[in-house]
Amino acid sequence: MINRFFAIGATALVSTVMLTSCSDDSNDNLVIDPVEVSDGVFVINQGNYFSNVPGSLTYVDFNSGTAVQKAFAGANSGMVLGDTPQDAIVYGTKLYLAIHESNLIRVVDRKTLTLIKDIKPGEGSVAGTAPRYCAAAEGNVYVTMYDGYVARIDTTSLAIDASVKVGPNPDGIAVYNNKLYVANSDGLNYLSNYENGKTVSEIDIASFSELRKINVGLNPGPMAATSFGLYVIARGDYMSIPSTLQQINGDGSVTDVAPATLMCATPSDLYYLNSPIDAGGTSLISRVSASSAIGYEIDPVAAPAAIGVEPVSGNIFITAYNIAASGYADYYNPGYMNRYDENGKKLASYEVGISPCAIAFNNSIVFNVK
Amino acid sequence: MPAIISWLLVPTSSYEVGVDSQRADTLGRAISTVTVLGAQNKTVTAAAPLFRLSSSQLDRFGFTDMGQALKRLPGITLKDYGGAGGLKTVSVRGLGAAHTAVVYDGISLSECRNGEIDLGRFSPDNIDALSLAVGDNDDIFQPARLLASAATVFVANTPAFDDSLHISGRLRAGSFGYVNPFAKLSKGWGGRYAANISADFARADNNYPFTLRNGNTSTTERRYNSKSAVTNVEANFAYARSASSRLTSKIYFYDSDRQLPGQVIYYNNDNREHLHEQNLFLQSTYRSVLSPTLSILANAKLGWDASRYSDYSGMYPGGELHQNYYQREAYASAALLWTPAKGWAFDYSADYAFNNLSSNLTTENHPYRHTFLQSLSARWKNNHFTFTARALNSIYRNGSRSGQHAKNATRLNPSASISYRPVADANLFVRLSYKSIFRMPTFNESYFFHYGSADLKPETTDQFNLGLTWQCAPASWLTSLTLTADTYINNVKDKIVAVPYNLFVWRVVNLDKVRGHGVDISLNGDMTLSRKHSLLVAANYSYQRMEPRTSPDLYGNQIPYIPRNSGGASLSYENPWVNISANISASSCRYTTTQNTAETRIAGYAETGASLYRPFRLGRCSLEARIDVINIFNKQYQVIARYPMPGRSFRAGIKIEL
Repeated sequence: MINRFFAIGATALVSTVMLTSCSDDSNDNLVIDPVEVSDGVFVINQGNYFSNVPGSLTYVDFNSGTAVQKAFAGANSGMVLGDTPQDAIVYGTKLYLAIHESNLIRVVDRKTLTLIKDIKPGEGSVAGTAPRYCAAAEGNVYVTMYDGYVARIDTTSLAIDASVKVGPNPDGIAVYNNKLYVANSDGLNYLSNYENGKTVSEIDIASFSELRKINVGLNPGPMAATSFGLYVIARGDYMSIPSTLQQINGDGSVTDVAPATLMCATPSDLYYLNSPIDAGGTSLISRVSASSAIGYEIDPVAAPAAIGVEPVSGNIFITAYNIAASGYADYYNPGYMNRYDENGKKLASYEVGISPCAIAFNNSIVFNVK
Repeated sequence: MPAIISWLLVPTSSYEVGVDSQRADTLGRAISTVTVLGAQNKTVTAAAPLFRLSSSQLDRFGFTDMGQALKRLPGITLKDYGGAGGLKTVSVRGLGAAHTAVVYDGISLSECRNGEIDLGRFSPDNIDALSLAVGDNDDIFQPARLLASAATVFVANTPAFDDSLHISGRLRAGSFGYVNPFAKLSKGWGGRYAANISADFARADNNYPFTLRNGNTSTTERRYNSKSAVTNVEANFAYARSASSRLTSKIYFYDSDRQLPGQVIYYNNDNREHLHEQNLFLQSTYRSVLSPTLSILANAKLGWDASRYSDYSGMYPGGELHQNYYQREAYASAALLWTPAKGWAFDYSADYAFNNLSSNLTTENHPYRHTFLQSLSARWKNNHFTFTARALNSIYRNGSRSGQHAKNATRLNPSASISYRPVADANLFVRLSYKSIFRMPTFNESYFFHYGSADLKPETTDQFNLGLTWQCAPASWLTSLTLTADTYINNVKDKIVAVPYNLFVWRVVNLDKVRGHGVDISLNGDMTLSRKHSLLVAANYSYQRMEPRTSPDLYGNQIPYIPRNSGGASLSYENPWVNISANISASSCRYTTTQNTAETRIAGYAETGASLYRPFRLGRCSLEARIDVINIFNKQYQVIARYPMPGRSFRAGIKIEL
């Protein structure tokens, strides 16, 4: 029976739990059971600042099942979220939003979405600007900075306290076996065919220093980690070299898994799909666990933008661009997000904003006291 | 001497020396005035829309930048990115900047890389005339290249000069670090040779404040990284072998070194882009009356153009991005005018141009293009009618040192116009014209890595125009009143647009169609209220309905950046005390994309400016002091999304002539 539950910052509460547990040990029969619950899903919409449309946040509440557009502006007196938000992560009681063009990291309350603090990368003595992707580990949020750094945000002081040089143009980031892995894309060096974009940097979390560079495929971008493996998508050159999902092995070698353009991971499974240029989208979601690999047939999604899997329910979410009547992905009008159950059966579709590039789940650890 | 003066004073129709100046030459000095009047009448009788601002109009209306002046020409939509030294391009009747040629003293400025000419390089008080021609005119004695675009903006800068040495100078300064010195020397020798040299330098910080709306609040921000330094140096030389045979040459150098403030980004004004452009050209025009029925016009040009773009934002390989582009051009043209019988005129023009592009990019294909253009025109006129018919043959041969070269094109384009004057002694003209023309894909559109496509077809336009001009002098105090009204249909096919393949790869394709129609109205009046009080008024209004017809979901929308309603008015009051001029320009809302949503809407605006100026003498010098207030009501507005325009600003200047 659940007597009461409370959700607090995951890090802060580990210690709280310990203390409580310790002191509770002397009491009889009181068991504290940490359980992950999911309240909803955030969709980060890049917008199109060139056409004067800033980025926005869509929130789908799982209780009501409705999508709230411009959720950040709604909670903050209409304030614009920023230009080209790229990624977000829920950590503890807060949502961290990495806003690339605005060179801003916004920290908001994950429930009320009210702004707690703006972090301006590069403003202090710590190098690194133009945030891209986020990951969290051991009380810190890590953000790749497109000018060649990974910055560390102390989630107590809500400030960037250190950065480590990686790059060029680091993109995706993942935490695996107490280390950070960052894809060095060399994405702005497309005129030289991403010649320096062939590595993943391995960073030690404790010393916050780069341990080695692991050779991977060309132009690595998305990174993800399950409990059993670390993955990167080497996006290739969008021309003759295809986008490839690779597994990074402990010895620094890589194994090609499959052609893929998007992926996400839960501790138990890796999900990916493949939607290369001119292929007309995808109708298959692939799922890999430690012991098996299966695929889910879905109705075609013509221009997928991001994939996310909510770990509690196993529901799969795919955001996508609409296809304009001209036949091309529509970067000027709102996209949509499909929701599938754990077997790939479509449950719902929601409208989101323009260019819905990232998904973050509003999950927290709840402590059931029995 | 008079001959030189006469053609120097008719810059816009200087391509048509043949018939008119033939008369001028035989009648001598008195005719120079006739030719001048002829130039003004040209805009009245034109069989296709032709709008003109003369040097004195430019001066009296007190325009201090090209933007203000260009907005006086009906049908023009100006793209202004804000600030002195900022980019200013024009599109005419919704056709896009690449369809508008910019002609400087008879020869086109060329830009093969992106197809857009920055008109901000010119200064309105240093040019003799500014005019706009839409479609094809009855003015047939022209290089073929001037006929190869849908619309043409003419800039003329061939100041009159005589035997005595003239020295003039100007110093102007204004808000946001604007300083603009200018000097010119001119001299003639015995009525056969004349030369001038001028230098114009302008620098500005352009760090003006603007209001940024953010949700329920507004903040005052400032433009950063927007310093500019622009230098123009040119020398002109003229030689009159005889009254009917002249050679003119120009050497021109332009250097624009500027920081680019970029689009306003929320919460981030750290932009580190920089653009250094240089343009050097040498051009010559020779015209001669060979016989009573035959005249020749020859043009030649050699040009070099550099554009060096840098971004120091630290995200690029090695921390800095440097993209340097170099274009070269060689151009030659000959036109032959034959007037075999009364009322008849024929022209054959042949042009050849070679253009190439190189850069420091590793992906550079080194594209080049040979252009052969030939036109055959016929004109017949009597007291009531002028008929003009023309065929333009265009041959574009593309090549590149590496990679796949862009498609070649060979086309034949017809155009025709009729001008009808119902009453022989009344200046009422009705005109009807048709023109079909296309533009070639630019080098960027054809070749740029991951963006350009060698398979592109030309973008084609069809223009129909029906209009009238009525000019009269109804009263002794109203010495001239001119009204023009035109209505048109403009269609664009195979419009070249960039489409996303994914977030990282955009490609250009021949995708869009535009169906458009519109109305242009202008009214000009010259009033002499008393001997020392005169009033000059000019007003223009344009209605542009440009509908994207690419797909049914867009029907009923308006294409990007073209307002449905726009216009303006200028007024100048000259009097013995202090002269006053005022101008207003207004535009209805525009959209940034073919999707017309609340988010892509840019609000309409009205902007007002005023000037006070007064000429006076100091010994042998004539001087003029002037104060300009730009955007008097400090209206916050944007022409291009996220490029805020300056609020209220001031300029003061003094002009001296010896």
